[in-house]
Amino acid sequence: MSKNEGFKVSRRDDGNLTIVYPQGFLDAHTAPDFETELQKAIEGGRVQIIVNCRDLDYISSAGLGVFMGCIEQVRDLGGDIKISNLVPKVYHVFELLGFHQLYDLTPTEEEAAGKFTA
Amino acid sequence: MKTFFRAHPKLFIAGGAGLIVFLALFRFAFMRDVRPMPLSRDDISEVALDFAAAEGWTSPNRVVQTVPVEGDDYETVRRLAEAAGTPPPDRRTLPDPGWETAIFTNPGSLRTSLMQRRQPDPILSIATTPEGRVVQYVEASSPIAGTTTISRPTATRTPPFPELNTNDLFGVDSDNRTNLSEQDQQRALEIARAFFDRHAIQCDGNPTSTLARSTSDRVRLVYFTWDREGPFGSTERTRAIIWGDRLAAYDFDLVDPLRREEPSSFDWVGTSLDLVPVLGILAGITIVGVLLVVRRRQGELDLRSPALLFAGIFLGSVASIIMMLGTFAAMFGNSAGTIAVWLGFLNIAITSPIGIFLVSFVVAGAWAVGESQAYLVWPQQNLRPFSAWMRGDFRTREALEPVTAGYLSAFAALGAVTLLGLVSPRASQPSIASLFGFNSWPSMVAPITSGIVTGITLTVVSGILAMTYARLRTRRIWVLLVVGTIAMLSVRAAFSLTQFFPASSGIAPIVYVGLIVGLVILFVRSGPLASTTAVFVYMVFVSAYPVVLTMNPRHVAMGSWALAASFGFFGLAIYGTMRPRRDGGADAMPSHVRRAIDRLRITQEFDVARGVQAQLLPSAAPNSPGLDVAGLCVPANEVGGDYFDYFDLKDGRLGIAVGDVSGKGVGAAIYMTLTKSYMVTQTRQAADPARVLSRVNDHLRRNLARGTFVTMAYAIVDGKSRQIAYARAGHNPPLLIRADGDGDFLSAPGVTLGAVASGTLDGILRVESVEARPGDLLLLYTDGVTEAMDVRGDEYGDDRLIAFARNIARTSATAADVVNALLRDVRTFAGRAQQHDDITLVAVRFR
Repeated sequence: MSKNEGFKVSRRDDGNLTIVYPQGFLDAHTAPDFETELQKAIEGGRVQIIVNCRDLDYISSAGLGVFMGCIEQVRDLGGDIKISNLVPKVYHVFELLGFHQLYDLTPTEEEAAGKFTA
Repeated sequence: MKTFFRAHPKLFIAGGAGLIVFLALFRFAFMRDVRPMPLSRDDISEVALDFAAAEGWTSPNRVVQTVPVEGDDYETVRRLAEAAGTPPPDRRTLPDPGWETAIFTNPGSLRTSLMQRRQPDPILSIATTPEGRVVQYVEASSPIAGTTTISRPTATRTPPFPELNTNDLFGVDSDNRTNLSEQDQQRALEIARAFFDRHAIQCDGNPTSTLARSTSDRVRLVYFTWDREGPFGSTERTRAIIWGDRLAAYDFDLVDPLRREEPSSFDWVGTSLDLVPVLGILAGITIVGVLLVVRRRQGELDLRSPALLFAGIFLGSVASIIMMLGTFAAMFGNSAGTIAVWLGFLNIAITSPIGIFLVSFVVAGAWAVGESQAYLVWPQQNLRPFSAWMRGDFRTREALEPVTAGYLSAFAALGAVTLLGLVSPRASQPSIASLFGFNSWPSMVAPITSGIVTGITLTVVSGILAMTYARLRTRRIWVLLVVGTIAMLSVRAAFSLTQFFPASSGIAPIVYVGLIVGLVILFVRSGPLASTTAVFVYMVFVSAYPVVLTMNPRHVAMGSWALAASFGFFGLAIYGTMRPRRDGGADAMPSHVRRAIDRLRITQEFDVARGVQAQLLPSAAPNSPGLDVAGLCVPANEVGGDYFDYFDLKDGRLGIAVGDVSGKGVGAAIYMTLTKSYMVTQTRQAADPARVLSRVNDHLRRNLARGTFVTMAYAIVDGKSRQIAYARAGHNPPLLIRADGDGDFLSAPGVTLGAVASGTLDGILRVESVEARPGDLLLLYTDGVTEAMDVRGDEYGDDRLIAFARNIARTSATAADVVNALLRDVRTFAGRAQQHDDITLVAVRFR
C-alpha cells in the first residue's frame, strides 16, 4: 500500500477513439476519479474507448467494478471499452475474476484500436 | 450562590471558619517567637557588601544568593532554660535570635560548578542576623551547591578553606598542630583585633584557647576562641582563624557547654512517605520498559503509534519546561549584566518556542484522548467546568462552583492546620527563615510562582493524572483513594508542612495524610478543577501569609500582593457563581463532546453489526462423514464482505461456499447478507454447482449496485466417495493438495457473479470434478490471504500459499490446525502491516 498511493488519470481523443490512461493505484479511494473520467467521455458521446493500463500498478475490486459498470453501459450504447497494456500483476487479477473472457484485453493500444476498426 | 450555599452549607461554614482561624491565629500557632524583621534582602546585601569592601573584596555585582540559614542558638537557650526549670526566654531578648542569612558575593566569572570542582575560585560567605549584625564571615574556595555561576574576586588571593561548613572549619585536627611562637601569636591576635575594630565587634580580653596548625601546603593557620558567659548558662563563643596576615574566618555562636554533639535525627516517616511515590514511579518505569521490550519482540508494538509519539512529546515538553524554569531561576538568582544572563536570554529564545510547540502537541493529544474516552467514561459533572471554559463560558455556575469549592476547602485545611499548631506543643519552630520555604528571600512573585510550579505541575501532572487514569479504569472509590493518596504523596513537600511540624513530633504524618485524603475526597466530589484550585490556594496562602506577618514593610507589601491576587480570584469566583452570565451551560453540550458521543454511538452500532454478521457465518464445523472441516473469517474492519458457508445436502454430501463481495465496509456487508440468503435458497433447489451459481447470479444482477460483483467458489464434497465437484465464479482457485504434498490450484473457468447476464455466465462457467484420496487437503480461501501485504507492500501470494499447503498436507494436521496455522503464517508474514482485507479460510481434510 505504501508503495504508491497516488493515482492519476489522463485522457486523449484520437478521431472516434478515446484513450484513457490510468496511473498508479486504483482502489476504493481512487475509483471515483477513474469513473468520473470515463463518464465524462461517455456523456460526451464517445463510446469507443481504450483504457491503456501501462502505468496501472494495482487494481482492487472497486476498480474492477468501474470497468464492469462502464463497459456494460458503453456496450448498451453500441460501443465498447477495450483494455490494453495490462502489466502482468493486474492482468492476473482480471484473469482471476474471469474478465478476460468478457472483455477485450489486448497487449497494445494499437491492437485495441484495430479491434474497433475491424 | 444561594443554591451553591444550600448545596454545600458545611463546606461554606468550614471554609469561612477556617479562613478566620488561619488569618487570626496562624501567628500564635507558628510564629509566636518571630520578631518583626527589620531589614530586607536588599538592605542585608548592602551590609554584606560594606563588610566585604572593608576586608578588601570588591565585586562588580551585588549578591549571588541569599540563603536562609536556620541557626540553633535559640534552641540551645531554650533547652538550657528547660533543664534549669525556668520558662524559656522571649527570643527577642537574645543577642542572636537564631537565624541568619548567608550571602555569597559573586564577582561574576562564567564558570560552572563542574569546572569549579577542578579549579576552585574564591568565594565569600557572610551571614548576618535580620538586624544586619554579621555573625559569620568565611573566605573560602569551593563551589556553592546549587549555584551555576561562581565568582572570581578581584582580590588576588586564594582562601584556605575548601568548604563553608563552620563546624568543620573550626573543628581542628590535632595531628596537624604546630608550634607557635609568642611573637607570632601576638601578631595573629593583632590581626584579629583589627578585624573586630573595623566591624565594631565586641570581643575583649585574651582568647580562651589558641591553636596553630599548618595546612597541607605549609601555610600556618591560627585558631582563636573567646568564650564568655551567655544567657541561661550558655556560652557566647567567638571564633576566628588567622591565615597569614589576614583574618579568613569569623564566627559567633551561643553554645550549650554541657551538650554533646548528637547526630541529627533522621526523618524516617517523611523519607518513607517521599519514597513511596518514587518507588511507584520506578516500578512503573520498569514495568513499562519490560512491556516495551516484550511487545516489541512479539512484533505487536508499532513504534510510530500515537500513544508512544505523545509519550515522547510529553517527556520532551516536560524537559523543555524544566530547562526554561531553570534558566529563569538562573536569570533572577544571579546578578544582571553578565554574559550568563545574555546566554540565558538566548536559551529562552530558543527553548520557549520549542517548548510551546511541544506543549501544543501534548494539548492536542490530550484533547484527542479526552474526546475519545474521558468525556464518555467520566461523570459529565466533573468535566463540565473544563467544557465550559473551553467554549469560553467563564462566568457560568458550572465553571466557577468548583473554583469556589476549591478555595473553601483550602481555607478549611488552613484553619485545621492552624488549630493543630495551636494545640501541638512542638508545632512552633522558631525560625522565620524556614517559614519562607524558599531558597531566597521573598519577592513578590516567589509565592505565586512557587505555587504555580509546585502546586500545578506536581499536583496536576502526577496526582490528578494518576487519579484520572484510575477513574477511567474503575468506579470504585476506594481504588481511587489508594491511587490518589499514593500519587499525592509526591506533592507532600508542596504542602510546606515540614517547617510547621517537625518530623519528631509525630503530628507531621497525620497532617500529611489528612490533607492528602481530603484532597482526594475533594477530587471525587468536585472534580479536578476544584482539587487543583485547592492546592494552589493552600500553597499561596501558606507561603505568602507568614511573609506578611514578618512586619517588615517591604515584605508585607510583597506578601500582600500574592494574597490580594488570590483573594481577588476568590471574589471573582463568588461573584460569577452568584451572578452567572448564563445558566444554560449545564445543558449546552460542547460540540466536541457531541462529536465524541456520536462517534461512540456509531462504534456501538458497528459492534452490533459485527455481532449480527458473525451470527450469519457458521459457528461450528459441519459433522460430515469422512470429512474433517474447519473454517474461519477475520474481517479487516468492523464488518466485512467475505462469506463462507456449509450446506448439508442429500446423500450426506456437503456444500462449501467461499465468497467475496467487491468493496469493503457496510455496503459489502449488506450484499454479503443478500448473497447468503440466495445461496441458502439455491443450494436446496439445485444439485449442480454451476447451476447454483448461475441462479444466484440472476438474483444478484437484479439487486447489486452497478459496479458491484461477488466472487464465489462453490464445491460439493462427498465424504464417502471422496468426489469433489466445484465451480469457480471469478474466485481465487481452491487448492487440492495430496497427502504426499503433491497437488495444485483448481482453476475451472468462470466469471464473477453480478458481472454478466446468466446466459453469458452459463457459457463460461464450467463444473470440474476431481477425486480426492484419504489424507488429501482441500483449501478454499479469499484474496485476503494471497493479497496480505507486509510493511514493504509485498504480497503473501500464491507461491507462499501453495508452499504452506504442501508442507502442512504432509503432516497429520487437522483441518482446524490448518486454518489456524495458515492464519498465523499470514500474520507473521504481514508483521506490523495493517490487515487491509478480510481473511476467510475453509480447510477440508479427507479421512
